[in-house]
Amino acid sequence: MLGYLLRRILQSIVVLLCVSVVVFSIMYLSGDPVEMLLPPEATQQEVEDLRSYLGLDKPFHIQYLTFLRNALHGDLGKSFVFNKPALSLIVERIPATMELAVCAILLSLIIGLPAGMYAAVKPESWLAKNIMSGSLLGISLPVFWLGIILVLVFSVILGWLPSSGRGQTEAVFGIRLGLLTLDGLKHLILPALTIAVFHLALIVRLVRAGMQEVLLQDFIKFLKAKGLSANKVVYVHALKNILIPVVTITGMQLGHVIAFAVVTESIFAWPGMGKLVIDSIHGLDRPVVLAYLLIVSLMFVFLNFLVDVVYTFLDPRIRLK
Amino acid sequence: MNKNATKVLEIEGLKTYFFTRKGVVKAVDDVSFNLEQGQILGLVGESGAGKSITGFSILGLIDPPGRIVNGRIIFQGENLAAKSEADLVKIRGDQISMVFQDPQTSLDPVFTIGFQIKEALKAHQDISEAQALQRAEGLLRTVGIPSPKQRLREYPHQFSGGMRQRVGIAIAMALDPALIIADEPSTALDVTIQAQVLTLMRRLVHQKNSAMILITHDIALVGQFCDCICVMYAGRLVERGSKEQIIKTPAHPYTQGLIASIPGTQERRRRLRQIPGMMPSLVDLPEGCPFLPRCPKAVEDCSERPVLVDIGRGHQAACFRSQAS
Amino acid sequence: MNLSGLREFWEEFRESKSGLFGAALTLFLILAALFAPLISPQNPYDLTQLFLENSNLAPKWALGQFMLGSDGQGRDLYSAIMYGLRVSLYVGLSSTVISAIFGTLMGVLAGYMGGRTDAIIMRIADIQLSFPAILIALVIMSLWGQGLFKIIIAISVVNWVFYARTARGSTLAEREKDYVDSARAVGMTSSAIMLREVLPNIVAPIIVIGTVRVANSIILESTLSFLGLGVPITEPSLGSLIYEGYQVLFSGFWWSSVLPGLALMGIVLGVNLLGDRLRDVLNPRLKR
Repeated sequence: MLGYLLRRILQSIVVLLCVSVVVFSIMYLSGDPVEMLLPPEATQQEVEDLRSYLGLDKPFHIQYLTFLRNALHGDLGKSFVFNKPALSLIVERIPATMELAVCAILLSLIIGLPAGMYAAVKPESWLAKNIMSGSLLGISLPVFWLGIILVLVFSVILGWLPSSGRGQTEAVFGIRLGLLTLDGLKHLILPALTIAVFHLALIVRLVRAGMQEVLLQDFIKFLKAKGLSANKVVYVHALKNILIPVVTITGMQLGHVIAFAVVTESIFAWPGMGKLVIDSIHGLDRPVVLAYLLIVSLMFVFLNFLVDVVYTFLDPRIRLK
Repeated sequence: MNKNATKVLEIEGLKTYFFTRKGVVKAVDDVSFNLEQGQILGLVGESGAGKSITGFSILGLIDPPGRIVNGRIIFQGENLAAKSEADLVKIRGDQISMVFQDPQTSLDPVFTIGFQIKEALKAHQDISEAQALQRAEGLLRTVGIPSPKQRLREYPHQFSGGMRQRVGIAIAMALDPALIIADEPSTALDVTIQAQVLTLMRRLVHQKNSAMILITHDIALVGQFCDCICVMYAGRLVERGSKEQIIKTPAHPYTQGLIASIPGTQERRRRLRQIPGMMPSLVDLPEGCPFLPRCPKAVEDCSERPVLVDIGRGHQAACFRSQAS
Repeated sequence: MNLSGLREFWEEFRESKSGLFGAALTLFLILAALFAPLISPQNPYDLTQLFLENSNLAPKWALGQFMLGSDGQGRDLYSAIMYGLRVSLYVGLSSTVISAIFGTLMGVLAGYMGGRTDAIIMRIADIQLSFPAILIALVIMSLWGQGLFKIIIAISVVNWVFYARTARGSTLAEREKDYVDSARAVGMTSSAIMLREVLPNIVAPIIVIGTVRVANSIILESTLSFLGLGVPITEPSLGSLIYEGYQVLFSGFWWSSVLPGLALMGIVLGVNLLGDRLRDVLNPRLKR
């Protein structure tokens, strides 16, 4: 088991390095920021000066290595727009995005797991059929449009919930969370729901398919022959058997959720990483975009690694090899 | 057969049909037999003859689109076919238990053996965790699994096929049931392990004075281990009687064919004989004797469905030609 | 793929009402998009036809101009939706075709050749798969800029891995079969075997993946266009229209964002239903 873990860590590092090279290369090849930073009247000398100041006149691999060295020291460049270190700009917005992402995932699991199980156990019921149609709708809905509809209904028409911003937050262990205040919660619901719907639909379909497959297995009949009630069979045995794929998908989806936060944060003006990066893209603030990509890649690689570990932990067939 | 022995099970006219899109599958069509305490009854026939379905019907474990259409299943004086699911749950595992064919797939792979044994115990008895653990240990010892304490903490995939089957037997016998239904318990095992497993089961049945139905396609096996034998074909019971009667004087042509195909029962001069042809599909069976297409002794009368008739001292066969032979 | 096989396929396919509905919806919307210029009262790209005083008119719900209202620029919303549907479908379908071809070829190559080729291709695919599609597309478009051709390429880059993975799996299974051995024995070259023998036999799972990816591609394009990173605003897709509609949402002009969204959802739902049904019908064939 330890050997496996070490191998995975090594793999992750390699992936990160590859990603950094790819991202850096695309950055390098995609145009010259100097032209955009200076006013059009700038002299050639000023352009050259700025270029050498920013280190943009050196060869590719030197630039990359400099970049890598700085990155490992926590320096990912300075934002052109805010004139602050890009890394800190991103990091201070991570809690906001994570709060949104985690709430969305929790929502989708809390609703999705029981709904999927019910749909598998009682497939002919009216509720189950509606759940399945609903899930189909859920994966066909574009996230951003759903957000707009929710804003339309709950903010514009009904005026119940706010449509932008984060509301009041309270600091917990130095991290600002909006969950703990009523105002914060009101601001959290719509964006979290927007993101949650897609994953919810996915979970429902996955759980139902998985359940149906598990319930066909021999050992289910054997459990019934032992005299276990149908409830026990479903909620203890079948559930644990499908937990493994559910955990895997959820882990993968956490990455997607963070990425989709980009869209949702734009609609709801939620002050997270996503909104920052979109603004930075439009504002041509390259260091911030680069920093975002690297940090998010780091998060994904770490998440994938975590999911792998949890997966091996959950499935005794793999754990005890 | 001891007339004073208690009848554990009486099945009368059991009919279990499956209502599929392609038609009605009469998986079990009017099957009746009795079982007394201390007896091992062999239910033998080819794959698909309806033997396993009979076993599942007794426990009420028939999933839709199948259901028990008719018949009575009298167990210890009560008709199981008329019982509610809640009542059946209490009986399963406690008074009637089942051993499954494929030990590979009959245990939940994500829970330990210990958990699964204790679960069976706790489902029917109010005992503490410590007591359950102790009993589980004892059970593993009874079925001959060494170092039980440690093995309880292991998972099914860490056991060999034979060991897994023993665990299945342990679970089946955990609560001293009056009836054990063993569905092809040794088919998925090596020949050498087969004998071990069945000997074990027979010993346990005699020890606890319970009863067992041994479902198998291997007539040699029932000849070795059973007291009485029922032969099934295409969902119907075609012959029943004591072991001696069936093995030494089989009356139905199908049974005769089965016996003849056992290696070693023929004189050395004769070649091994297989019954030609295949069992028909159970959807829309034609009228008349289902064995007709493959029967070497068929006559015109066989176009009408034969019923079980007595041919002497409890030996019965469903064949118009059986009296004559 | 012969005539009787196709008929068998159709017989089974039409058993499901939802599948038929999906197919019908998809077909209807595709035709609407194709004939957009013929059925729209206005050409929304023609700036000479737009007048600002016509902006943000409420839907009239009557046939003719401004049936569905107008957007912030005075465009007839119905026409804009039809043309937008066209763009969305064009991007979705062309990126699917490109990624399917490229991905399948890569997958067959990896599966058939094995060894180093397989390891390299699959390693790249695995790394790419560990990142969400939207992020990859975001990276590409943010650094490349808006553009119709660019977004098609970006989405193709995102999707090729799915085809590659499926194709590789199927190829591995096919490789062990007898007809491949006989082809080799007869002296066919590797590339000929891959293209002429293996490829036709793995079409079914590719189609299945394809229908899933088309829906995803359409959503991906619309999301990127919504963020301003997709098609240019001169040729708005449904996503761009929704963005513009969002700008005026708070003034109460709901139609310019809701209605294009309905069209978008319609096509995605149609493709999903169609794909679901195709998957069910093609599945037993996969097991053969």
